[in-house]
Amino acid sequence: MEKLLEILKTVCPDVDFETETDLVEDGILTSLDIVMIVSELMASYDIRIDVDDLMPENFKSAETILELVKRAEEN
Amino acid sequence: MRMVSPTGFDGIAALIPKYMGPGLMTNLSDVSSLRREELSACKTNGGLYILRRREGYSLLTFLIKSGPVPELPGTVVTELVARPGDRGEAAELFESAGYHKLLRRVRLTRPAGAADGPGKAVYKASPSELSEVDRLLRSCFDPVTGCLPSKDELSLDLAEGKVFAVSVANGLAGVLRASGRREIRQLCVGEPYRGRGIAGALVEAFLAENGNGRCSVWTGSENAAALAVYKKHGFSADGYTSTVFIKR
Repeated sequence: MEKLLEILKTVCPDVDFETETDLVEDGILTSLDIVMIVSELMASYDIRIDVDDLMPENFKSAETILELVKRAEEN
Repeated sequence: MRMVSPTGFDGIAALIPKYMGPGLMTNLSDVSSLRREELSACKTNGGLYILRRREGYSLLTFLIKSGPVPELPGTVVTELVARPGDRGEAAELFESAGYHKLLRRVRLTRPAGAADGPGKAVYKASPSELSEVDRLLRSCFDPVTGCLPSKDELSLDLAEGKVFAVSVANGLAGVLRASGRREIRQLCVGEPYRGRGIAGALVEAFLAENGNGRCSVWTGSENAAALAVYKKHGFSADGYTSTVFIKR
């Protein structure tokens, strides 16, 4: 989780990923932020994330993003 | 540059991850909206350029790792969103490819917090008002830069209660079209009815409907009337900006 939080902070320095639990629904993360986050995750973890994974549910919180990364690593 | 084959959402979506990575310059935001569009695309070693067909021009969505921007067919319009801290490299690429600026927008965000409450005159427009709402939107917004919905999209929004309206004896005076609970997409008041607080009443109705939660809106950076209404209702610039570019 520490590595993920570091990456997320690099992309969106103003977002409190440690406490926010509904980043998309609360209007904190935009669709464009999500694309930029995914770009960094793909490079940092050497994973592939498909367009179908760019759904808001996967980006509600740091926990759901970590789950997405883990699923991508298993594939 | 070469055109992507096959075109269509599935063919193009499969290419998108190949262009994602650090240093990506993109204006790809709502991927699901691409699914409903008539698409074509071309790719270079450094970028994927997706064109959505519009009346008289193409709307460009891009994923660029490196330039130059290739020559694309017909009149092309694209909107570059700058997140706080962006260095404007994408704008430089498009300008050096012959694109020029049409409009600049700023994003305003309102933190969660109580508002005054909606005026009584505001109601949710019904699907039977499709033509009237469409006409008012088109009379107030530029067809190229206004991000106007298609009639199908607007029809769906009306059915889902996303359009707030104020009527006068002659018809509609003003409308607010929302995108979900957190974003205002269009807000307009017919010219004869401006200066009567109708825009403010529409904003209040939207805020009340959404529990006065955090929300945002993109508006023209030189649209003084809109900026004043939003400021009055607690919105302020959050550092995101965008520029619409065109190449004929």
